[in-house]
Amino acid sequence: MASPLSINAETLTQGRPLDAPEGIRRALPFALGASLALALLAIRNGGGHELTVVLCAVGILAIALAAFLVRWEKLPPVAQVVVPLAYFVVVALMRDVSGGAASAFLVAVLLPVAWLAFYGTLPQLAVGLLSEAVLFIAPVALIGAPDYPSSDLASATLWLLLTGILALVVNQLIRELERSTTRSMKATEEVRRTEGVTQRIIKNANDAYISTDAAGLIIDWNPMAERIFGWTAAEIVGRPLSETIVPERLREGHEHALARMAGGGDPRKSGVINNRIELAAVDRAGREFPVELTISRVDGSERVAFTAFLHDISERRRTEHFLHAQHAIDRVLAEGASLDESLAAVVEAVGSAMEWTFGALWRPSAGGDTLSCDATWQTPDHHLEIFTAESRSHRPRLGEGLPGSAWASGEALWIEDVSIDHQFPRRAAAAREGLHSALAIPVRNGDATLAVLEFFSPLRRRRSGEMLEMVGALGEQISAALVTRESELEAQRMKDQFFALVSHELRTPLTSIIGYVDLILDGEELVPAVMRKRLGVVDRNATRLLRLVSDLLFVAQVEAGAFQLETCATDLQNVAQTSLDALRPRAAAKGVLLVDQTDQASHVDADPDRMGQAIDNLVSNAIKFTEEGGTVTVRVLEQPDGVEIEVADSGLGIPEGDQQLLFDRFFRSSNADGIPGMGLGLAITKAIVEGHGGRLTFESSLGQGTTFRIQLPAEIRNERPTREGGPAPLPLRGEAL
Amino acid sequence: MDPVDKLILVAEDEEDIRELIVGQLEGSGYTVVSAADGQSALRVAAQTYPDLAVLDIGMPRIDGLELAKRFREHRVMRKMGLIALTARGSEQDVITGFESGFDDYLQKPFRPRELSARVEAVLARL
Repeated sequence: MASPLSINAETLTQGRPLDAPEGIRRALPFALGASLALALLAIRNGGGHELTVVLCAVGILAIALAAFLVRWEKLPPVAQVVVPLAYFVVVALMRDVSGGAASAFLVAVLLPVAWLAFYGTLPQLAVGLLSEAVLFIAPVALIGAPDYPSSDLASATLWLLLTGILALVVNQLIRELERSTTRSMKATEEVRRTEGVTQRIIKNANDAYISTDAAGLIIDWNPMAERIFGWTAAEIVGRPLSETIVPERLREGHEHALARMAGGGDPRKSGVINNRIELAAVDRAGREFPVELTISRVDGSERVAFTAFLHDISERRRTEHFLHAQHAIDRVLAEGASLDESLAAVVEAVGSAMEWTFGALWRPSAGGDTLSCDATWQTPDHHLEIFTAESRSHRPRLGEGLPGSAWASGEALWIEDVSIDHQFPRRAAAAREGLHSALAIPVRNGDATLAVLEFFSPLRRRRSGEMLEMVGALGEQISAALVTRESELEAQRMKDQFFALVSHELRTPLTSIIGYVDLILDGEELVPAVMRKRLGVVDRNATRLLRLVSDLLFVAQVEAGAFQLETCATDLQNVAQTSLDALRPRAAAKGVLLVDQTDQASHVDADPDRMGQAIDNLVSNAIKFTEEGGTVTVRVLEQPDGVEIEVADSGLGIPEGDQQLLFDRFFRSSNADGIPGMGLGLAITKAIVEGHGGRLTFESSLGQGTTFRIQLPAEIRNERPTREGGPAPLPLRGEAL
Repeated sequence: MDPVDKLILVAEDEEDIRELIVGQLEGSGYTVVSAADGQSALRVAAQTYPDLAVLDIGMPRIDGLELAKRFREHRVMRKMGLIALTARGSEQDVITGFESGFDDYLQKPFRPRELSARVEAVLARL
């Protein structure tokens, strides 16, 4: 029984399926020996059954030979049971006729049991053991023949029992071995299949696949990596990553990182492993481009330490650069600067957005035959004095150098490495300061070239058709925006001039009128009372006219973004009381009660003149729109986060339909007929309040009155109005709020 | 301080306003010399060495800002009191800057009495 087991152990270690016929073949000598011994015994004992014995021996021999020659596992399963049972019959028959020795029969009987134990299932083995019992023990038990060779029933039963137990154990062991072998076979097969698939996936991957050992030497390099980097696997495998695809300027850092990652610790903490990261890589030709990659660490492998999938993200980066540049151009050109300033700002904006290092603005000189460098820009971390100076003194003619060529062709140009380009006049300076890639974008207006924008980078950035197209589009965007902006600026300039002129031209005669009236009125004794009264009318109206002019001018200033606050620590109680004092005569004249509830000193950071103007406007409006006998109440209230000024009247109220338009300039409420005014007061007040970072709100009900509230923060949070950050331009009547 | 001791230069191109200022200041007791443009203002100043000048900013050729600069650069006249007359908001921003050299400014239109008050105040500080 030991022999088939040991075979199985061997086959298992070799990872092959159990070789069934081999067991039989090993057992064959026993079968032959047993049948021979039985035949000899039968012949020696004689008894007239020699023929039967010989026939039986031949039968045993035939079965043994068949076992040797036929591949039993190919037979139908039933044959694997029938054959040993037939063997039992033959052996039992031979023993019966020969009356042979028990020991020889024991050996002969062992074989089919072993067979069944080896091949059979548990039921088959049970059938075999039962057959054996029937054939060998039943005659003894039933007939009890005293001359029977194994007449000792007890020893025969014991022997059978032992054989049975042994066979059962062997059977179960073998079945178990078989099962586990099959499982491991399946697993091995699966692994082999998966490996094949993985290899194919890596080979056909749309990403470059690179694996390295712990020292950074390249082990795997798939076809996509060959395409991206220009190195074949045969050339690069075995070489260090840092000398091949890591840009020179990053090599030191790369090696530090590699040492850190390979030298234990938790690399996941560094964020490099298993995260999507973006790095610069360099191809065989030395051109640098951005890649996105995910690095994995392979633990427990002797060879491979790191694997990475990576892909070239130049295109994505290009699109990002393009979009950033577009936004930057829009942003810069929205600012109201001169053409020169705008172009210089565009150089900086486009340069930063597209990650260039140095930018130059070239404009045609007065004569129109050369370009001159009007402005340069560089990132703060680079010092390119030599190249800057050289560019500043360079005067390329049409078609000369990079800017001259872009000027001549009207198309964007890209040079991958100017430091080795003999067409590039400044190459020595570029080489000295490590500049390589360059881009020139012409900005054209019709046939005329307004400017050429030129950019440089210390990287050898790859040129691509798409990039040039995008860059060309940027040039068009810039020129279109400049043309639009120029006309807008021109309109704005004219408007500013108009307002300045109007205000000046109106103020000058008003100065004379008011001044002379004052001069006359000052000489008190010379002026008769009636004349004094009439001159008072002139003075009042001139003053009113002056106020209107000032308001118009103020609106114009706000629109132009030229409105400035002069803030200081201001007591709003004081400001409000000054306004109230000034307006008291008017309220009294109209029979309106002016209630002063400003009983708290309230200090905020504010422009006292402007805030006075705002409160004046609100209070005088309130007086205007309140009928005789009504009241106007002014309160200054300290709030946790600032000050609130409230001007409440018991006047006409504002029709609901008008409330939306109330702050529009030149808007006048529909129930304001017969009440003088231009509709500027509230617009101005709102601009002043918002210029202080505050809010102007109101609530009103028709016939009940209106309450305006100014809420001012305690401190102005750097909200000085400028063209971008200041109060929004006053909406014109009819424009949506 | 007696106003009669003080000589004031008025530079203003608008005749009406110039007369108004001269009238007001003379009424206040000052001695007044006047000029209708920057050029003659310089000449008059060089001949008379006034104690204070009221300068209109918006004058043709040499404007009030330029005049102030020249006075401040002058060896003797740099101590002169300077008051600006402005008409435009934009001029005010320049005048209120420290480097303009003006001691005070008045925005047009102004009350003649206020001019006298400002003149008196600036002279008192000299």
